[in-house]
Amino acid sequence: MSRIMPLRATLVFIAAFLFGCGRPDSDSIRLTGWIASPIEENLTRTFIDTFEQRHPGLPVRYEPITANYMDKLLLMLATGTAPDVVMIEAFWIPLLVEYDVLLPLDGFLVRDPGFFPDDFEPMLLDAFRSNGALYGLPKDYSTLALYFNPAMFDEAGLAEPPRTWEEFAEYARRLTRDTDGDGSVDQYGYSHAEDLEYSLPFVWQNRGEYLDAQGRAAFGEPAFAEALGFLQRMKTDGIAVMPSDVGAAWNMDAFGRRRVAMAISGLWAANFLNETHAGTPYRTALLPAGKKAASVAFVAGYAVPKRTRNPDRAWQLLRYLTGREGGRIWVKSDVGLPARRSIALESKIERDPLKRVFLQSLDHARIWQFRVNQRVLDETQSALQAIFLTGAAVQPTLDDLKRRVERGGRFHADVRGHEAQNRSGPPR
Amino acid sequence: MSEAMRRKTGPGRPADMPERHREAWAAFFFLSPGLVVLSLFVFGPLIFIFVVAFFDWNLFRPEQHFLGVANFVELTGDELFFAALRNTTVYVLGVVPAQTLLALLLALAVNQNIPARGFFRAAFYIPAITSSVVTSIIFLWIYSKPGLLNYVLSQFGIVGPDWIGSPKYALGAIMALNVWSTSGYFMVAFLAGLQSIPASLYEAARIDGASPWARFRHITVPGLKPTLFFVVTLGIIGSFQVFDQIYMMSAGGPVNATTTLSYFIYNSAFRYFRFGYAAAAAVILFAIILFVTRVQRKIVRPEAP
Repeated sequence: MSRIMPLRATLVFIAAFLFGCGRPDSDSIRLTGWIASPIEENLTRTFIDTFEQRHPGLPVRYEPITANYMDKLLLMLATGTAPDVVMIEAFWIPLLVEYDVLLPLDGFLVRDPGFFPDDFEPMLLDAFRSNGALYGLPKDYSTLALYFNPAMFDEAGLAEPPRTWEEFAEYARRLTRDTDGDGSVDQYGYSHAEDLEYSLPFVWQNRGEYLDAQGRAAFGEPAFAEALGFLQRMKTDGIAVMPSDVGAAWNMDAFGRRRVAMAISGLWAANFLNETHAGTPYRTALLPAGKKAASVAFVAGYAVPKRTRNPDRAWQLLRYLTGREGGRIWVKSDVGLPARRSIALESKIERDPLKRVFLQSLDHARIWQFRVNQRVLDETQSALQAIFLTGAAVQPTLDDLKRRVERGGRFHADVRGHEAQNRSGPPR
Repeated sequence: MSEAMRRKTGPGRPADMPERHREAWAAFFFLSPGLVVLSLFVFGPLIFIFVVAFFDWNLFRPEQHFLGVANFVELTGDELFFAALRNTTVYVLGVVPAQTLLALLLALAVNQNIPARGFFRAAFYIPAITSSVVTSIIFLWIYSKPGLLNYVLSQFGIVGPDWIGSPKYALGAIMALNVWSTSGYFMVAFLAGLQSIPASLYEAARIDGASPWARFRHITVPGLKPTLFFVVTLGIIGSFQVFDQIYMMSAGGPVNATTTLSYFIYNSAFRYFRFGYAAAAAVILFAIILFVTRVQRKIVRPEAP
């Protein structure tokens, strides 16, 4: 054995090791997405099979991300390793446009007369638009609505869901009961979740804002604090609970366990209730309104990363995913409502007592989308936890939050030189 | 070179040097896969941290801006960073002594001639080889409002809180989990240390009429010093870097009560996409660990008898 042999062998080994890191399977279209439910995953697989049958020569490789979707996708986008078509929540569009990692789709739309972009709910399509260019297409959406337990309403002598904040609090009081007579309350009126999106409808209904039209903090204003104060008071009055107070994982889990009579959630919660708490009766209603009606709309869709190797093939898959045929498949999943009006009509959403509520809420809903550093949202989350979990005073907590995030220009720490763009900020 | 090897090769033979070279080559050859992987994924990034910390490093931009010490200056004004520093300090001060003491007690116990000794050794060690994700999920259930811990407490008429959901108890609850999961591992280290103390010392002491406490104080404790240094050092480093349980159980909350330095670093890099800022915090964490370990070395002095 000569002395140089081990070195050469080492180099061969390293080369072989690094070679293994290369990209396999370069001719298929890579698709990624999160998995909202097993039903959705099965549908995606059926969907890919159908697409491949209709498009011979365009194999699809599905690479779902099962956890921490955005953490992983952001890294992939930054390093140019993202799949050709990526599922994306409209929330992230302003940030990703600013990072310049998405492909504008307007050219494809112009050259593709059979796609009918006018069929989309305009508000949902606009959620993927930035500075006039389109960076994604909506797949489905859900607004927030009120879930209530009709059996508990009957027992409390209530016929209709609450329509105003006053009724909401009053009903919650009547629904808070000691059902087994052991002297302690075991059924509460309402379960609130401390995340911003569940307080926002109340803020907007109170004509408050999280961010103003210029993208600056508006959560120090009285209208914001008033809305949080109303919700916090329901908790201190003992007629509302946080999910953890009753040993539930999240607010709809508390609802499913029959510990609360009302909770706010999206259409996805219906799937959860049917699968996990099949015995709990539920109905849905529009959110109780304050000074005006308001709700939040969460929009999911697909986009194409700018650094995709074959934009035309990616477009073929994207147009199918968000086209009419694709929409007909998605509508079966029940994780969201169809983004296309024609599909909504076809599937008779208007006549579905459960789903039509989410459709009607869209009239007064605003898109869940802020152009703000994630750090600010996390700081907001901590402040909301302080308010709802520890009973911290609302106004001082919000003032402190404002001070923390505005210090040192950290509010938009990664958006130097860009005008902030906030869909949910300025009233539409 | 060991005694055995010297006998085999024979001292002073002319072929000695090339032979040794060849051995070194062979050693490097066999180490190379590990060395390559470690350099690529551990040593390289480790050194690179010290570069990134001085930049506004954003993966989405082709060029990175040099900031000088601006990241470090910003850290000094960041309340969340100080909250993380405080939580981490509390964590280390609580976990390290508790896990060391518990590990020592367990080792002393299973070093005796007790029945089912093998069973207890295995039982105490199992948490150390169980995935931290799994133990986190089990403890989430134990600590939940209707969980096992509160059930036990309710037998004594105590109404327990939602341990992880309460800013007051969350950090303590995660600390207790870590004491439980790591002390089994350190118990094994102490066991090895205990068994390396020559039995003849104990016999001699017994003949001289030394009490059990005196034997422990003057034979066991000095004999365990190198092990103690090992356990405390690893304990300190591990505690300063606590991440997985925080990530799994509380996500730094509620109200930042469980945000530790490594969780802060992770968030700054992978959620806020500020790699330079995260690197600066990592450099500070490195400096703290280095400093504490050196101080600790002065106190324990493993090489002193």
